[in-house]
Amino acid sequence: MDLHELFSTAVADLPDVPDQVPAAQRIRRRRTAVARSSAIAAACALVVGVGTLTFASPWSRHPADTDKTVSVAATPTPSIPANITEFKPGKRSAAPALSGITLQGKSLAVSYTGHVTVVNVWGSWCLPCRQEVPAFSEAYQKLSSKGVDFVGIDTRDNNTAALAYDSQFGVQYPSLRDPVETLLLAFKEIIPVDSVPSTVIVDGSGKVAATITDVTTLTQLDEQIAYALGAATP
Amino acid sequence: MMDREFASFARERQQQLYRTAYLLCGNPDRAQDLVQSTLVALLRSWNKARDAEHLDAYAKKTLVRTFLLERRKLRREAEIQTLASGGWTDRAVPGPAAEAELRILILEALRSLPPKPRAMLVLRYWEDLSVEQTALILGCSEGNVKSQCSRSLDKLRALLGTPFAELVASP
Repeated sequence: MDLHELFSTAVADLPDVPDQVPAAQRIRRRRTAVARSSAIAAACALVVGVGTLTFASPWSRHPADTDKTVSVAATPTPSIPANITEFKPGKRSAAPALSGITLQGKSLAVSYTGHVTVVNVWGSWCLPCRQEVPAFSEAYQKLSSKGVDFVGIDTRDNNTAALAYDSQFGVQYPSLRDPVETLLLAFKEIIPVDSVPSTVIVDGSGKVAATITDVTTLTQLDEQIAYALGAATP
Repeated sequence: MMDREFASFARERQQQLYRTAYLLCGNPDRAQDLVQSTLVALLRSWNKARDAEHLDAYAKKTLVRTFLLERRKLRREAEIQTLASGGWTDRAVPGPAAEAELRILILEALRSLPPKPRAMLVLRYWEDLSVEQTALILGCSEGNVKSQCSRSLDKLRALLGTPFAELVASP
């Protein structure tokens, strides 16, 4: 018996640790969110502070000065938020084929070619989805006429509840039923299966340009759609 | 995609990390906490970790460094050490059948060492890392690892008594 065996004896009866992955991901996500919101709060405070200062001070007579000060403070930092992954054009992989039955009972095969497609994973049971759904409705109204397609994957849901959800939030684009995560599983290489909501932006050649996990905003959606369209992102 | 990769790696390795953490902490609950903070740290630097040549070694390094950092923060080691160092000589050496007793004994003996020398022993003799790899993880010289390990082994031998002296004979 050597020291290694002695150590083995010490850990021999140790029961397995419960899965620590979900907790670790939750903690990480919370810390990122806290960091992000305090950064936003700091930026707002800065803008408000600088604004007050310039309006109150006797040197702010020239409008040009005021504009300059405010615009410097309000310039967004060009870093990508932690919940977004962008793929450069050369490094994109094909989006998985997506077809099934819509909430209304029609069959639908999603075509990706020739236009940007926004795929949003949601469920009527998911509270964060309710936070972000107005952004999707607004983006759809703004961009569907410009050729951007939207489709939802309604996962682990009850169809009646899902239809009520769509009418409550005025969602006009179709969603595919995905009661047992079959559709979501096809996306397992792209987005984590247990992350609802999440969003995949597919470019005009059917390749994944960006993914957003967790709640998103209209600004983020606009930026990522522009990115998939090939426009320069700010 | 990042979450997915991380999850599959972490699920594969967490039990191994937990065992090493247990040897380092000597307590299952603290070991579990340590595994969790290690995974959070790994997730935070996942982009860097993923590109590391040896992801496994990177994970071990993160575990040991997280452990040492937390110990340094807690500064409770001094108390634990004084508590643990009392009464060793009076303790009856258990028969070979008393596996549970042996386990407690080896864990207590490990706990009597300061965190860094303890981490060295665990890396060298539990993880079976070389002197060079151990030095790299702990950020010290190879000579330091050699001399500290030999001192720690002497201490273990003294603590565990004559029947165990040959068990921890210098390999």
